[in-house]
Amino acid sequence: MSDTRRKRRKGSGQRAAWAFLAPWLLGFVLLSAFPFFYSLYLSFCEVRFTITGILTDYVGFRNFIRALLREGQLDFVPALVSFLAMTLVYTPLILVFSMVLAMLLKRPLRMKGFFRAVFFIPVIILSGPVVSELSSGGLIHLAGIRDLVLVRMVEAVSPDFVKLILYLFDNIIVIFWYSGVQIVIFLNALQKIDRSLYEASSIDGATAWQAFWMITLPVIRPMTVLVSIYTIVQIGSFSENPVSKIIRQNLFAINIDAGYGYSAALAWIYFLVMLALIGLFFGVLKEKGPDRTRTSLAVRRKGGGR
Amino acid sequence: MKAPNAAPAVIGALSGALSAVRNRISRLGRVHLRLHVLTLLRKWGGGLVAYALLLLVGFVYLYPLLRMVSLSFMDSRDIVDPNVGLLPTRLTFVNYEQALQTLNMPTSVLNSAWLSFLLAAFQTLSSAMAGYAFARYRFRGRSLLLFLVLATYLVPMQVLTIPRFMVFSFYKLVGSMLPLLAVALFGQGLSGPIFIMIFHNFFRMLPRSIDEAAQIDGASQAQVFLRITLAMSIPILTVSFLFSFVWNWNETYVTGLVGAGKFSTLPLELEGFVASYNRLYARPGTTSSMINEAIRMAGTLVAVLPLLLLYAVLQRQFVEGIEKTGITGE
Repeated sequence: MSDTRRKRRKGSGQRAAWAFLAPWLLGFVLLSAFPFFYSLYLSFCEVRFTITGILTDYVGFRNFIRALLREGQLDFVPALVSFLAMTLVYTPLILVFSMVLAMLLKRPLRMKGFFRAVFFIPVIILSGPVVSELSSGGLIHLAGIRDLVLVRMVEAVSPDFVKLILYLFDNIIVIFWYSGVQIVIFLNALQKIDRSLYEASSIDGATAWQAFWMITLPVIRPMTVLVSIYTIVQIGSFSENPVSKIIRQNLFAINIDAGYGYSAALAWIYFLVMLALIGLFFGVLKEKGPDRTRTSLAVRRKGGGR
Repeated sequence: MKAPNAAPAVIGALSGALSAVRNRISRLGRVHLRLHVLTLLRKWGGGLVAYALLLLVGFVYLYPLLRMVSLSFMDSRDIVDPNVGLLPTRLTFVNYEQALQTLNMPTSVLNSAWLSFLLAAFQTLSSAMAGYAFARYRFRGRSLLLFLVLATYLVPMQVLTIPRFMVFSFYKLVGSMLPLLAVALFGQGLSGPIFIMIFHNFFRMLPRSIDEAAQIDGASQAQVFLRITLAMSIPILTVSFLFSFVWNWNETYVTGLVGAGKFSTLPLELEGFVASYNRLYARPGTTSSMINEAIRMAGTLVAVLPLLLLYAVLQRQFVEGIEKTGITGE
């Protein structure tokens, strides 16, 4: 009796689960999974609009060859390279910057709420048009330091170094503006670390520097993976991203070779590049070996006890 | 004449104080004092460095916005005058008049508000339902579907947008808000996986005993969800709604494609700002009617002002909201 009732309840629970899931599942199948595979299919096709409907002719790898070896070399490939470079430079900088700011904000400070609120403003207002308008007026570039005497002096010795510095200063505001959510994520992770760990380590004679490497970093390490993926997706989905613009332009291209098929091929190349980037950061940042946190703490304790 | 007389007294007092200090030092022990100074230095010195860094970074954060505000009040002479720094010599409001016109103002901001409101409401509802299913039920294929939720986060919208757009244009839905609303209602909206995971994490932390008590009292699963779980989740619903609202407000890529010029939001108007301005104000052959930085910055300020106002009022919910989401793990 009770067995059947439990079964019935379990059965109704299953049905309720699927009922709650239904909107998402329907949307997933029709609006995500189907478009995902259909755009893959389109990337191997030439798409034509006729009165009877949409015609797709299989053309093999022609769209990909066009994108990477022929016409795409003029616009798509440079855009892709600049996206790649931008992500590779921005992501580590955003990680370090947001970690440093989170550590600063973790201390008991007056006006902490004010600073936190300021650093979060870009999350609220960041949109493609706003950034492009501000950048058209040169407002988000700090290129002015080029004229500083010190910079001039360094330039005479090592122009490449100055080029790097100038690139950083040119992009520093954008990097800062991309870090809003990341700062808060790191801050929350830091606040969850047990203070007694730091006290114990300082009693054992560890410096703040050692405490950072032995306690802080292992604990927030899983967060760095999450934050880097978030950052890459954020950069990748930004509408002012040059690759996004080209894909959109080609969607409405009038010449017969472009259009949906070519756009789909571009989008898929872009997707694979993004996946590779995510894989790269995941591989570098993921924890090596089982449970690094505990072992490093244990090692630290042992060393202190000796 | 008094100074020489006063000097010995001062010296005496000083030496008295010094010897008192010295006595204190010897009592406490030299090592102790050094430690004390060090900790003080570490505490205050570190604090000062932290303040200096935070102020510097805060200034760099806000600099573009400050510059935008200052430029937007300048007339065409102030912009080109190298002697004019952050403060305009005269305040002019002409830029704003023109910017409001160019941005098609009341209409575009109302469009944005309505669209973002509906999208945020739909997205919050569908994500909450999906998150609830994942958090509260064990069903076949659960982990696979959970994996798929996360996987969709990695697929750039460019990949999905092309076929979606084809379908929308096939059914003549381009130019209306319907496709966007449908996408949000079926849980595939902007950053959808983030919201589903937020609800999943949050619902997992809620105690089950209340649900069970309500079920014993005869509440259906839907009633438990609506009357109990959602009622206990107002803070997280607010966070989800606010972020969804802001992100959808700022979205221009898909919105622009689907809107196709038939309806326009505030950020989309800002995207076409220069073209709209030239259509409205530019007279061929005259340079005075040309668009300048000040007008563009006035337009940008108008475009972000609604969001800044929202943020000013709900700042706490935004920043502390992320803490409530449990996105940082247990």
